[in-house]
Amino acid sequence: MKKSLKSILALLLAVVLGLSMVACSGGGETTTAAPSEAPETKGTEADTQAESQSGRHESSKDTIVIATANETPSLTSVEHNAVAGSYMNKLTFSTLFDTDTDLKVYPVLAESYEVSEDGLDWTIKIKQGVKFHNGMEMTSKDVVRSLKLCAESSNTATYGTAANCEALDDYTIKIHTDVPYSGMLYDLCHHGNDILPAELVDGGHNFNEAPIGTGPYKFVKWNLGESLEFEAFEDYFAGAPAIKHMIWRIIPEGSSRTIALEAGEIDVIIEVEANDITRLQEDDGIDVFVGTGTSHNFMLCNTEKAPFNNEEFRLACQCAIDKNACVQVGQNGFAMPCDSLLPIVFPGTTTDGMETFNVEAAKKHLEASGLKPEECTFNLVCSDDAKERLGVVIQDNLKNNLGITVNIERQDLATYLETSRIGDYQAALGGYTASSLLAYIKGVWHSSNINASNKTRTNDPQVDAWIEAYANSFDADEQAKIATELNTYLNQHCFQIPTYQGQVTRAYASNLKGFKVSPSGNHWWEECYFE
Amino acid sequence: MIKFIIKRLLALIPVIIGVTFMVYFIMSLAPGDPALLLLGDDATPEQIAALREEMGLDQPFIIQYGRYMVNLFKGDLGTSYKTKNAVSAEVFSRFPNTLILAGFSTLISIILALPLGVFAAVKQNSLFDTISMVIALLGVSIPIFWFGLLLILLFALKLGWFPVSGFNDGIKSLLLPGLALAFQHMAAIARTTRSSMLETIRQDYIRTVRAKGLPENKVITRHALKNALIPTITVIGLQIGGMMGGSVLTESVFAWPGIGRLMINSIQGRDTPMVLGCILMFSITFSIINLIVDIVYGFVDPRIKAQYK
Repeated sequence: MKKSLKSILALLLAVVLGLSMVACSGGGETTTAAPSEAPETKGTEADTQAESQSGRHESSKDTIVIATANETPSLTSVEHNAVAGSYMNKLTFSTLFDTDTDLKVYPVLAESYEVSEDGLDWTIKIKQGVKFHNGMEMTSKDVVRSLKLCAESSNTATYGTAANCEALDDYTIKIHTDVPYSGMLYDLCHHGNDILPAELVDGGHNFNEAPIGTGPYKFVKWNLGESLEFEAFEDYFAGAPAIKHMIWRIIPEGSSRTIALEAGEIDVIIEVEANDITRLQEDDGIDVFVGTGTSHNFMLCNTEKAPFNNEEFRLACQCAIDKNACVQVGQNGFAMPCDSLLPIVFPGTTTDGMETFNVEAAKKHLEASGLKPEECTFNLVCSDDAKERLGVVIQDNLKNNLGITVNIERQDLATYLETSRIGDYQAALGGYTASSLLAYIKGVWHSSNINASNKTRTNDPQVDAWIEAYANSFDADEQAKIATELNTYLNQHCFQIPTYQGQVTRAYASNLKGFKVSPSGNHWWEECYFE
Repeated sequence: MIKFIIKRLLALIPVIIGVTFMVYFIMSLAPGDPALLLLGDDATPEQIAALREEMGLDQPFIIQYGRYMVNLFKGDLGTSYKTKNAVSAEVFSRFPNTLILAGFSTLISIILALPLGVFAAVKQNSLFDTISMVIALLGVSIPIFWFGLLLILLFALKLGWFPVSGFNDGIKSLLLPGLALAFQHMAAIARTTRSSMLETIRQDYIRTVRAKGLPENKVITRHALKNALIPTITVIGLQIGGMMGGSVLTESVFAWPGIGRLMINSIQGRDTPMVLGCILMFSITFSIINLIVDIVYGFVDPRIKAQYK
């Protein structure tokens, strides 16, 4: 009996293993190869947005299926603050301006703009003949109402800087600010400033059930938890999209999204599983876009708490942590090691003043700090699996290189947001994404954002002065100079430890053409077509 | 019997009160602010305070809970913090999907597990018995998530017989998630059936019917199985409850728009009204399943039916 039981067990195990091998074999594809250090760009187009709007191609297929991990909380433009929601808003609504693949602002519904000499008044001419999905023509009245609505909603009020505005005529508006503010155009790119029909806004229309805007796609149906459907808006002011039907499918599991693309069930993956990128790159029928993103990631240091209130200690950590290892382990190689306290995608940003991985230098800084390794034990908060993997690298580096013990503390996102906001932590792994440098420096470094997004609790008048000078300047060269000075200063004082610069990845069927993604994750679906 | 059913249905009221209180209390103790989650890092303390006031989160726990209960007894499950939609609309749109998945999985697991358990008991210590129990062991041990992905890779990607994920291909969409969910639960039912059958077929009355010369298949189906079913029915009832609550992994792998995924997302987003809506549906369903199990006991065993007064 014992012998036969062993044989049966062996047989069953063989069957299970066989099933696993058949299921997992990918025609010789591998998922373990590391990518090259430099970001690979496949399927990108360097042309500007203005050029690409000039014409539309015929599409050989009239439906596109896009897989995304997250369902939008709302189809309105002002009742959410979610990336998933902004993807939907881009389909049904338009803003006055938007950012292109180089993060430069270009006009969308705006025709032109002028800033007064004192920098306090913005006069914006809007395009004529633009129609909403309900057939009404857009006028300055709609624009003014929409910009005010952005400021009225708690979700989008941060971007409601254009609320003090008025209509000069049917196609011209004027925005007034109390101080010169160079971030105005970037704020106008935010989905909170999408242009809606004033009549519907005032009439209490439910934009979540029927999002009526001027965007390239009209909303058709929302199957809760499953999918959202759209159809091309034939009267779209920049020309009707070539692909007439669009379905966004909610597939939360990364591996399932990958398999669905391989099986041809979907055409595009928005959130590509890092472990699957190499495998997808090897598939001839699939293109993978990997480009620099605006997501800047770091080990947050609470500069009000020991041991991070000691600058030499922070510098010791910066020199003791191997950023390449952070990227390999934390992001499976799909990110860029970072040694700057500002994201290196904006003009003027620099790594000057920042020390790099050097164990001997780390030891010297620790000695200069006056702290002994056993006095420097700290808790590192991690709020997801990728951060925990990164935390293990930091834990290992600091233990081996400096003898410092790091305790990893796992918190869920809601808890992490609260504890890091109020400064109830020593160190945490975090990140910040912004489509303009002003939004970034204001959010992460200005003292007015302590107890908000300035989680290191940096309170430095010199830093604040640079940020305000940057905000008040309309001269690109001057802004770049301020950015360099500020960046160098932040690097020298190392208020937090940068780890990596995130990348934007998308995978899509190779017969899909015209597909573009900006570093901040913008898409231009109306320009896509199937070959 | 009707009196018994009414009594049990009335017992749902304290269950609902108890469940809502516990969930509301735990959610209020949990760290993390729903307003902050909604507004994001950039929001100022003033904006967060304004939203908390708008959502009624600035009120003491007991007032929030009292208001919720008053609305609940009026049939209003509240509004989601996150989507601003009525909780009832979101829950009722997804709950039938979870019921379909759990129901189908229950059916598969019963169809597979009952014969497996019965034959394993009848042929105790045989090759069939060993294989059945090893299959049952695998069912309990293999993570549902991994098994689901294997099924997708083999039957959807390699063979192309079924869709990878989704909901719209009828029975084809249902088969893989149903099988993945059923496999784990089948194991428990099969093992219980086997042990219960083993105990029953050793009883004196079974020996008597055998001595009377009744064919073995009739001994098993007419006399042994019916008496062995009581523990199996109990386990099936518990497994259905488990499938409802534990379907979240299957729903995620197969992108099935069910209530399990909604509940997990809502817990992460500290969306208390939505969490309560989901848990209430689970509690009521679980209570009703238990009631049905008790009623079925009565049909299987008349002695139990006699007690339902």
